[in-house]
Amino acid sequence: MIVLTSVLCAVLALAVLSALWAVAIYNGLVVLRNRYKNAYSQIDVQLKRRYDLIPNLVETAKGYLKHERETLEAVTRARNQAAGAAAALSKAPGDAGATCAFSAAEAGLAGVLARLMAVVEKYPELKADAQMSRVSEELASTENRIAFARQHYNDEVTAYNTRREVFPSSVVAGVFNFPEASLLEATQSDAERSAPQVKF
Amino acid sequence: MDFYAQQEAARRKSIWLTSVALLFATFVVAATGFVFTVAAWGACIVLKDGGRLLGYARFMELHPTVNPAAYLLGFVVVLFSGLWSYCRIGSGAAVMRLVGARKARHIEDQTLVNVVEEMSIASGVDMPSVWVLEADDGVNAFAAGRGEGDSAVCVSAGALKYLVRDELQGVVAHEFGHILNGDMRLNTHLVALVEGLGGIAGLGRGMLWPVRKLIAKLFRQDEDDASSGWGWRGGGGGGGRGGGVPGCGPAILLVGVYIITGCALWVLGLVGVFFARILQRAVSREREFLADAAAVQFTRNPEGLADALRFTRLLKGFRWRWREAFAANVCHMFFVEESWVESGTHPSVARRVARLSRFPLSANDAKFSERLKKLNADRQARIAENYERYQRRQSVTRVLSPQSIVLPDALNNQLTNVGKSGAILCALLRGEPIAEWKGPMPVAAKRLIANRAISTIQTWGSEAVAAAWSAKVDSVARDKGELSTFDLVVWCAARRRLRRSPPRPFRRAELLSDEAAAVVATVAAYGAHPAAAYALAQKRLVQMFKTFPASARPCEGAREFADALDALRSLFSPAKHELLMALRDVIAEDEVATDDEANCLAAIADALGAAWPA
Repeated sequence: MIVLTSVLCAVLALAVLSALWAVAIYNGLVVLRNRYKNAYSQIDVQLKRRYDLIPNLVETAKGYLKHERETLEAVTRARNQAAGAAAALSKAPGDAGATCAFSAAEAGLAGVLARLMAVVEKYPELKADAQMSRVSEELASTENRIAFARQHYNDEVTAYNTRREVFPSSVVAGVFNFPEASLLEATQSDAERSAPQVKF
Repeated sequence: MDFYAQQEAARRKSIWLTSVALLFATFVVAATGFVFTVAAWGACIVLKDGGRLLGYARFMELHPTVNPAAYLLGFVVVLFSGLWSYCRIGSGAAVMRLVGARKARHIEDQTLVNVVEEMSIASGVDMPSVWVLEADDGVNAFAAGRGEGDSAVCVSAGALKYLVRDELQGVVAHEFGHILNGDMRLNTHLVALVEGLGGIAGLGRGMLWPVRKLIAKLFRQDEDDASSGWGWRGGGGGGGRGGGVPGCGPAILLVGVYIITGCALWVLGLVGVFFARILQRAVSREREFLADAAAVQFTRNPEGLADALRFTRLLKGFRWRWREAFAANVCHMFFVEESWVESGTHPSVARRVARLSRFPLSANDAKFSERLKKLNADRQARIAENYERYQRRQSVTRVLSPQSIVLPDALNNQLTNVGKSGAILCALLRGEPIAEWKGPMPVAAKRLIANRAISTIQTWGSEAVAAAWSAKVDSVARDKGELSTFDLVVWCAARRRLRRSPPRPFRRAELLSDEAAAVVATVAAYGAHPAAAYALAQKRLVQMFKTFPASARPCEGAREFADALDALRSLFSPAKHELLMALRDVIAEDEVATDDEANCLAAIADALGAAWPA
C-alpha cells in the first residue's frame, strides 16, 4: 500500500513537473514568436523613414543639380512607386504579387539612390553643403537601419526556428503548432546572387 | 569569426567563474563564522572557567546555538556591507553626470546619435540615453545603468573626432553588447560581493582601532620619556600575551581574545577581497570578449571594431582624464582599459584583435598615421592654448595683487582708531593727500587703506558711529557728483559694510542674469576689446546662469552699478564664485589690468563678500 502510494505520488509529481516544464517551453516559444513579429514591423518603420527623407534630399540637392533633372525626377518617381507598393502590401500582407511588386520597387529605389549619390560626388560644392551632408548622413543611416532591422529580424527568426526545432521544445512546438518562420532574403534574383563578372 | 560560438564560450566561462566566485565567498563567510565561534569559545574559557582549558568539542556540546549564530553573524556582515555598496550604484544618467558628460545633441552629434539608434535596432535593445565626454580626447566609451530600461552610453570626444563611422559603430556595438548581456548588473553584483568581503576586513580593522590608538599613545609617551624603542614593544606585546599565559587576569585574557579575533577577521577579509577581486576581473575579461562577439553579431563587421581597437593601441601613452575615484567604479565598463596589464578588467587589445580579425595587430597602422598626426596637433594646440591662458592670468594676477605695498607705521597706528579711520576714508574720497604717505599714492595702496579703514570702523565702532560715518561718506560722494571707479569702491563698501542691512534671501541665478550681464559689460567696457571680453564671460557664465544675454549695456553711473551689485548679493556662493572667475577672465582678455578694472573688481568682490584685490 505504502509502495503504491509513493509510486503514485512520484508519478503525480513527475506529471506536474513536466506540465510546468511544457508551460515554460510554450511561453518561451511565444516570447520568441512575438519578438520576431515585432522585429518585422521595425523594418516597415525604417522604410517609412526612408520615404519621408527622400523629398528632403531632393529638395536640398535641387539647387545644385540643375543639369541632373532627370536623376532627381527618377528618384522622386521611384520613391513614390515604392511607397505605393508598400501601402499595397500592407493592405494585403502575404500576397505573393504585392510582395513581388514591393521588392521590385524597393530594388529600383535603391538603384536610383545609389546613382544620385554617385552624382553628388561629382559636385564638390554640393558635397560641402552643410544641409546636404546632414541629409546624406541621415540617408546613409537610414540605409543602415533598414539593413540592421532586416538583420535583427533574421536573428530573431533564427533564434525562434532553432528553439522550435531542438528537442524537447520541438515536441511542444509540434503539438501547439508553431510554424516555421521564413528568413528575409536580400535579393530575389538569381542574377544578383551569382558573383559579378568584372572585366577590364 | 564565429561570433555565436564565441559568445556561447564566453558566456559559459563567465558563468563558471561567477560560480567559483560565489563558492569562494561562501567559503569566506564560513571561515568568518568559524572565527566568531572560536572567539566565543575563547571568551567562554576566560569568563566561565577562569582560564581552565575547555575542549572545543565540549564547548560545542555545551553551547549548541553558538555555531549557527556565528555563521549567521558572518553572513549578515557580508550581506550588509554588500548591500551598502549596492545602494550606492546610481542610475545611468546619474553616473553620466558624475563623470561630467554632456547629453549628445541631435544636430552636433548627428553621427553618434544615428550610430546608437542603428545599434539599438540591430540589437533589439531599447534606445539608451547618449552622452559625450568632452574632457576626454582619447578614444573610449562606456555604458552605465541598472539594466536595459535605464541605460546610458557615453562616448569620448576623441572617439567622435578620430574614429571613422565603421569604427565608431564597432565601439558603440560593443557597449550594446554589455547592455544586452546585463553586464552592468552582473558587475554590480560582483562588486557588491567584493565589498561584502571587504566588510569583514572593515570589521576587523574597526575592532583593532582602539588597540592601535592605545599603541600609538604608548609609543608617543615613551618618546617623551626618552626611553625610546622599548615602550611600543611592551605595549604591542600586551596583545600577544593574551593567548593563555597562566597568572594573567581575565580582563587581559579577554582583551587578548578580542585582539586575536580582530586580527583574524582583518586578515581573512583582506585575503577574501584579494581573491574575489581577481575572480571579478576574470569574469569582467570574459564579458569583454562576450561584448566584442556580440558587437560583431550586431554590425557583422569585425574589422570596424578591430580597427577601433588597433587605433587605441597607438594611443598607449595617452591618459584619460576620468575622475580618479570614479574610474575605479566604472573602469570595467570602458571600451578599453586604462591600465594595460593582463590581470586588469579588460583583456589586452592584442588578444581581442586576434579573436576578431585574421589580420595582425599592426595591419592598418599606415591608415591611422594621418589621424594620429591630427590628434597630436590638436593636443599641442590645446596645451599651447592652456599655457597662453595661464600666462595671461599670471600677468593679471601680478597687477591685481601687488605684494609690495607697505603702509608707514604712523598710518598703521591711525588706522586702528575709529575716528581717524573715518577721517582718512573721507579724505581719500575727496582726493586729499594723506599726511603720513610720502610721494604719489598708487590706487592699490588707496584701496588697501580704504579697506583697512572700513574694517576698523566696522569692527570697533558702535552701530551708531558706523552709520554716522556711512552717512558722512554718502554726503561727501554726493558733493563730489561725478564718481571715479575708486570712489565707487569706497562708497559701495561703506554703504554695505557700515550699515545694518537685513539678510538677503537667496535667488536663483537665472533671475539675476541681467544684473550680472550689466556688471560684466561695465567691466568689459574698461578693457581694450569689450565685445570679445564680454563673449568670454558669457560663454563661461551661461552654464551657471542657464540664460545669459548675448550682449548687455554697461551700467550708466555709479548708482546703477551699485544697485546691480546689491541685487547680485542674493546669488548662491557657487554662482558668486563663477561670476568672479568670469570677471577675472574679462580683465585678463587684453592682458593688462588697469586701475579702473581693478577698482571695479574690488567693488564687486566686496559686494559678493569676497576678498578684494589689494
